[in-house]
Amino acid sequence: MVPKLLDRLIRHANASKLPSVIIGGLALPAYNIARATIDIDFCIYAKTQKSLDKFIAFLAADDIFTAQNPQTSDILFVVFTSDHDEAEVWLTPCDRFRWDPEMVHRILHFTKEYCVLSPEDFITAKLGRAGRAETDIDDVMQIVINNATSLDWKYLEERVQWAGLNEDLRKVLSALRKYDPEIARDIPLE
Amino acid sequence: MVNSTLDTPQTPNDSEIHITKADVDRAVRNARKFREMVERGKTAEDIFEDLLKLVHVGSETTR
Repeated sequence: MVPKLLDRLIRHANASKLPSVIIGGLALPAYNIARATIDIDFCIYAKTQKSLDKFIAFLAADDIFTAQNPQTSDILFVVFTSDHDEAEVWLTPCDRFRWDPEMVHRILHFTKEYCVLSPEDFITAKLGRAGRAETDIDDVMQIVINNATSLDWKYLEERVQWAGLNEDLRKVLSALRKYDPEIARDIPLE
Repeated sequence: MVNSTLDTPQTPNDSEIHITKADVDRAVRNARKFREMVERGKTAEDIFEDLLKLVHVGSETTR
């Protein structure tokens, strides 16, 4: 049986020694929430063009193609197979900011094979998305609700401040406090 | 949006956040659904695998 596209992407990222994470809706169970999705959003951290080219060469050798000419300065590229499977391969965790060493350090091993961003970085990426939609805000609220006692609030505060998103996070937390007093006691940020 | 100078974060999203009580109620309800699935014995990994199957079914039905 041919391994599924996501598994092949992970295998080639590992072979290229590139840190990688699942992002988007598929990553949500790692944060104790879920919603239906049919998209594969995969994110790699390619510091150099050489490492990115190596990854793309591994993909091509495995019949995974891109019509683009990805550069490390890009945000994402699309890959597809002859079976019409498709995935977005992101080069940044979000279209508003790039990887930094702390984000890489905080990558979570959700399962033996699958990694995701830390919940705090995932929240920041959701808030920072250029095409931010109601679904993104809903995801953030649910992550806070189901992880309020385990989030690293200090790091989240620092990260949203770094991204210039502190006001956006404050609005989400204020709404949760206002309408869900039960969760309010677990949210330390004002 | 493609921007090649993301070394410092770009200007934050302009879209305003307006959250109503109904939005919070829905989020609370959906968050509870996940916890209930876990209480019934599903693990987060099981739920991830279910989502993964959905992705594969989705890609097959769009062929």
